[in-house]
Amino acid sequence: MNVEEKQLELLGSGSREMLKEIYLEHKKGFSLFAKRYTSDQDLIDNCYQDAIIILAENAQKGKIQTLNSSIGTYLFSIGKYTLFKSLKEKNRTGELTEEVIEAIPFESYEEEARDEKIVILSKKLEQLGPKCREILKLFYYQSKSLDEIGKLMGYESKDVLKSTKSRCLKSLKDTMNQI
Amino acid sequence: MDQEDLINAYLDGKLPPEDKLIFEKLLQEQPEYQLLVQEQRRIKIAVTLQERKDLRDFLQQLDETEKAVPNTTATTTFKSWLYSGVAACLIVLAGLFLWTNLSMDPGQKLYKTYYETYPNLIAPTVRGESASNLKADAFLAYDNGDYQRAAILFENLQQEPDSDYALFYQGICQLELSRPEKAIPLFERMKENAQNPDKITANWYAALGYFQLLKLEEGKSLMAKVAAKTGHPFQPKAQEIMSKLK
Repeated sequence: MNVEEKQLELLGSGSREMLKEIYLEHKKGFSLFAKRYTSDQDLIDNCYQDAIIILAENAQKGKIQTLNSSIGTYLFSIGKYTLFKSLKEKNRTGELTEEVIEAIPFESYEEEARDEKIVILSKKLEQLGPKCREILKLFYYQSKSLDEIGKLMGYESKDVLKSTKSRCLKSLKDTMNQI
Repeated sequence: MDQEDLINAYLDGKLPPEDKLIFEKLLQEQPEYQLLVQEQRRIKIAVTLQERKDLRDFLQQLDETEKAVPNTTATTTFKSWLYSGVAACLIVLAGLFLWTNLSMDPGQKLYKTYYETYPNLIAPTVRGESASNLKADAFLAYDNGDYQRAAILFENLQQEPDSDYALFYQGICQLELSRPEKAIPLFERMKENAQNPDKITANWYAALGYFQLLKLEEGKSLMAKVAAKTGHPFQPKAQEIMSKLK
């Protein structure tokens, strides 16, 4: 396994240390690149953070099985997408080509984020205990199966994990049904 | 696979095509399943948005920590020395600026005034074959200002079909490395019907390269072609240069 593959594996497992290393390593280079298109430093920083979030999410969901180029190149291509998209939305110069759009497998959930039920669910999630949040994150965010979650969290019985998950979900579902 | 695993796999688009068809048929026939899917989808989105928010908080904290480091080490004494030092540097720099500008050749002045790095307008893709990996790596080096490495990668890319852009960007790398004598032949090799970037853009940079080499006549004849190209983004600047050279 080469360095890039190891980095990808760590990113896929949700390692914050790896994410921090990649974030700091490419931040300056991205900023230099983005300044050719805009002088708005806040916009550049936001776009870079969006790109890192997409990179982390795609790695954790297993959407990046192999890299045809380096992690840096992959991150830059996502960063270009987020930058050009923001510039286009703000009616500034930006070339959002079909090629770039097609290359980024990502759902932004911009519309859903305004759904009242989802807003309330998100607040309720913050009140759950750490174990519940971890199970739900692994299942819904990282798309892991119950068998995989059992191994990762050290559950000896799948049934125990299933009933714990059901308990975690119950309060969320109750909240949703009250709306 | 239990019900929630199945719905989660469906929402992730991970069900095999035949299972997906069966599942969608079930959804049509039994509306209560539609409600279940809707409920699971909402939970999935809420968890995802929450995780994104956590990640953003983490990144913002990192930025704040980075910014805080130099502030904690600064002291008042250091600051006062710093201000004196900056003032002295500014005086020296102003002198240097006047000296270099007054003693500069007109060709070098033109180059210094009008040269700007051409942006990377060829966005690399994430997926692709081996050739496009090289392309993506070349542009990453270019975007990072590593022109030495980018020049080598662009040279390799010229073996690939439809690689006029590689000649052009290798030329820009050579200009950035203060080697106009190597840049000019690359711009001149570009085809007349080249697009993105076009031949007129290549002429603009070749002309600036000639100016840097103090070959004003050669530069002028290329610049005249740019000045004559109606509607080209470099036309106004080229016309400005031509009027200065009259």
